[in-house]
Amino acid sequence: MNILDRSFIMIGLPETGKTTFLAALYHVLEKRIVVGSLHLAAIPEKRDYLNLIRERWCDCVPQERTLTNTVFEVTLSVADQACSAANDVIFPDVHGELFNQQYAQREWTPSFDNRVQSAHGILLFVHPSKVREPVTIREEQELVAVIGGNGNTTLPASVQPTADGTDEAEWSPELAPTQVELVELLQFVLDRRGPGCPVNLAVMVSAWDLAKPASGDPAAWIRERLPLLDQYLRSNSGRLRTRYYGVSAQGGDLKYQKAALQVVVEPSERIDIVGEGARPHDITAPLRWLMDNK
Amino acid sequence: MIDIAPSPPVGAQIDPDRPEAAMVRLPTGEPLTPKEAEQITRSAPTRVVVFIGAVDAGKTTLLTSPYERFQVGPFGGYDFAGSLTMVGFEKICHPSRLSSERRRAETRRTPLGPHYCLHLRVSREGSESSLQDILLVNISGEECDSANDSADDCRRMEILRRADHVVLVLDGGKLATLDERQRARNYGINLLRSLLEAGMIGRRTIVDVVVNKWDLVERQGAAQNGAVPFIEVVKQEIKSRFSAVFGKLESFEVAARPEEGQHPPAFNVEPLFRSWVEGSCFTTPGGRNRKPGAAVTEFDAFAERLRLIVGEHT
Repeated sequence: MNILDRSFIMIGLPETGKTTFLAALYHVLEKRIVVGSLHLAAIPEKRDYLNLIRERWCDCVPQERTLTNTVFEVTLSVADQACSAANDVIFPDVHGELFNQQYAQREWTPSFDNRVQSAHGILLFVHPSKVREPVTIREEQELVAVIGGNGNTTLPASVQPTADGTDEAEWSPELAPTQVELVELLQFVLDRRGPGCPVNLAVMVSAWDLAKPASGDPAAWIRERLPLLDQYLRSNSGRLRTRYYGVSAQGGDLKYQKAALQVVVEPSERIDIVGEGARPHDITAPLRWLMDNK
Repeated sequence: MIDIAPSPPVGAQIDPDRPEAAMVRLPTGEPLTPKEAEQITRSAPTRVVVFIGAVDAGKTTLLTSPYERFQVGPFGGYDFAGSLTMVGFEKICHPSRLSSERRRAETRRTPLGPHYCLHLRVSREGSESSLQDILLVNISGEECDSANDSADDCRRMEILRRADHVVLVLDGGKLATLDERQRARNYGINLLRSLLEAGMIGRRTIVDVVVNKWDLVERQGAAQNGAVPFIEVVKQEIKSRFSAVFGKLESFEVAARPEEGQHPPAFNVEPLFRSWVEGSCFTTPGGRNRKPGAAVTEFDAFAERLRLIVGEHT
């Protein structure tokens, strides 16, 4: 058996679906039931974390938020159904708040730096309902005017404007638009890897059931909702070899559709995934692409 | 035998006192110092665009308007390809965003001090191969006031010697106001002459004469006849006095952040931005103009020019 290490990192701001993806991935790998998917060549010796998140996913229970200073590292020995060659894939499951901290404080740990420099691929998670957009005051005023307001910007109740209306929230990293933060994180990655070290990037639009545009194309969704990121990826395609996937690991909204999701006999059938080379329910497709591309 | 990385126990904390926990510093994202900007020009063909003009003419708003437009899509036929100074841009753009909780959009005044640079990298839309770095340098209105009054103060603006483009930003609102228009006119013309005669700009310079706040010109011009014709006279005067002594001189009428809904944001800035990316009078030894993304053979000449700036600020 040919065994090669493949280290991957998952980048995504808080609550963008990283852990849910990992849980569903482990289920599909272990179950070996989805046509054409990768499978586990052997179950991990230490699998307590994977079992925990898998059980919650199967039961349609929301994952608990990963603690900020906790990194759960999982190593999976995976193989293609077509051949017996196996690869060890290593995922650190990192809490999304850590990426907020990295962006705000402009630093990261030496161990994370090692991961970045040696990563064979990156999964970048974005969630449709977690996008902070760069709305201008003028855009807001125009919107208010359209819906019949008086055109004045509406201030939160906690802010009492001065007579000249110049009360202001000072800039802080938390106020940066999502696409700005994601571009910066990718710039950090490329900066640390250096110019001669391109990397494969799978952009994962989570909760695809919420996002699904008319075109059904995750790249089109990125272009529309995160245009700065879209331009950046296009312009740097030589260093970031990118594919786009829309993934609904849950298959629906747990708040409103839990009962309907729980009656599905085989949980892997809840998975919805679109993207180049992705077969129905095959949540391993992005991983297969990342592993196949050197 | 598969080597399995052990899972840390639930809730394991990183110990910040361990020596190996020393962090890896990442780029700050703040505006570049002249020394940092020199590293950019050494490593890749770089356009240097310097903004001059009176206080409140709108230099900073104009400078950041391409970055703001990239937030919604390609601009001027170019894609956003990166920036080393995104924190710098975000801080400047913040007062015009809803997140600032302001009632009216505003841009903070540029403080006096060293000429910090904002950086953009762009690529021709749909093409990754033609990456172009741009350094955008804002000179405060107060420094420009001083340059109008003193040749020595002109000579302190060393960045101008390296500028591919010098953007003279004229306040269209003042040019359209009877009480202020002559002063605004003379200010711009005197500033160009001061910098020219101090040797800071000349045949190697492309000068962009930009009448900003064009939405105010149109609004005030409708109420006060003669605003638009007056501005045309100013443009013609500048052209007749200076077009023969600069590498190139062009005029633009823009509204970087129009107040009313009649014009879109960054009105007419796209052709101006394209000219920044595509135009330069600095030539290779072979006499050909450098094109975006072309190999550069005169790093040392540009680095030498920037050493003048570094020497001034260290």
